[in-house]
Amino acid sequence: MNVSIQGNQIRGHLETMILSILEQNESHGFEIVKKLELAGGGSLQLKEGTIYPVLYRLEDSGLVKSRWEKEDSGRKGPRRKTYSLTSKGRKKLEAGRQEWNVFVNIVGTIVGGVA
Amino acid sequence: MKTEIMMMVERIVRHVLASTETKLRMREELYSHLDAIYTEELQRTGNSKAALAAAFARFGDPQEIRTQLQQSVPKWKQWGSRYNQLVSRHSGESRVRFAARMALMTSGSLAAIYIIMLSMLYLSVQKEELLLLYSFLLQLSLLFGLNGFVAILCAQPFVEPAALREEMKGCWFQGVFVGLTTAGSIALLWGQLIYMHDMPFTILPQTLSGFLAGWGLFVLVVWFLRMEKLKSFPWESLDLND
Repeated sequence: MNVSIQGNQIRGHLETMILSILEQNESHGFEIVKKLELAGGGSLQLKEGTIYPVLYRLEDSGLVKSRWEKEDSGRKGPRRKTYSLTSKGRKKLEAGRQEWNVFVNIVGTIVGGVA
Repeated sequence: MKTEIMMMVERIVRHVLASTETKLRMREELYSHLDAIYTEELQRTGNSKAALAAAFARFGDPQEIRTQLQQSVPKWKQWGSRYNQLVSRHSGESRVRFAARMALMTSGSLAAIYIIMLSMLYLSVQKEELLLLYSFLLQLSLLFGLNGFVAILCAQPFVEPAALREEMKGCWFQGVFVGLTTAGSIALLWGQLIYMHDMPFTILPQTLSGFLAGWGLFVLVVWFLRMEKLKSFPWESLDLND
């Protein structure tokens, strides 16, 4: 079955998903979207511009930090901003994972019809 | 195509209530992302128009992104931006009208502050003294307003990049005006000091250095404002037709 996961379904979890992507490596916005899509196996249908409000919120809360790419990086095109996880962000990610596990256990039990 | 991408970014960012610095950062970052999608789509389709349409579709609805960006700006920063809008020149507003509006705001705000301060002193100070003080402070607020009017009128051609390009020829008038008013003010103050306090002529260097420091500060503020305006000018000058 080919199921796509779209904007509204993702929104509540986007923060944790981005933190999870950044846990592996620092990335810029375009790269984060690519990694999310790759991790989602083509099922994630994310409007790419919507990750920036989330990134700004995360940065404002001190969960991620950013730095501008250097002008002399050798790459053509406009400079990009790279985000990386802070220690506060790692703790938040850990808490997010635990919340997600609880959520999946409870909702999975109900929706999955096991109960 | 770069202009179309910039316009898409500007549609999202222009009306977000945030500081100039935050909005510049948003613009640069969104532009960089859209440019990357466009390049990718151009390689895939080989058609610039189709690539642009696909890039916009992938990026999302500008209105929705703008709403989400606005929510990501803390409330206190939004209030700062509202204040900035209030003290900025509105589109279509003439330079004289803007300077007059600022002068009225300055005088009005100062007068209001003085009235509140004097009301608090009402019980402890004699009424005659209060009246005298009130008249002096009212004159002071008017003077600040007038000074503000002249300063803003003089500074505007240097602060606004568009004006600087188009109205540079008229700037000699502002320069002469500033020079004459400065010289006149120094002469008046100096004369008054000598007349009232029987000061020696040696006070001139001190007076002059005070005025020069004041103008130095003024030029510095104008320079900072100009640098800020120059950065956002390529974006703010885009005509979005909305």
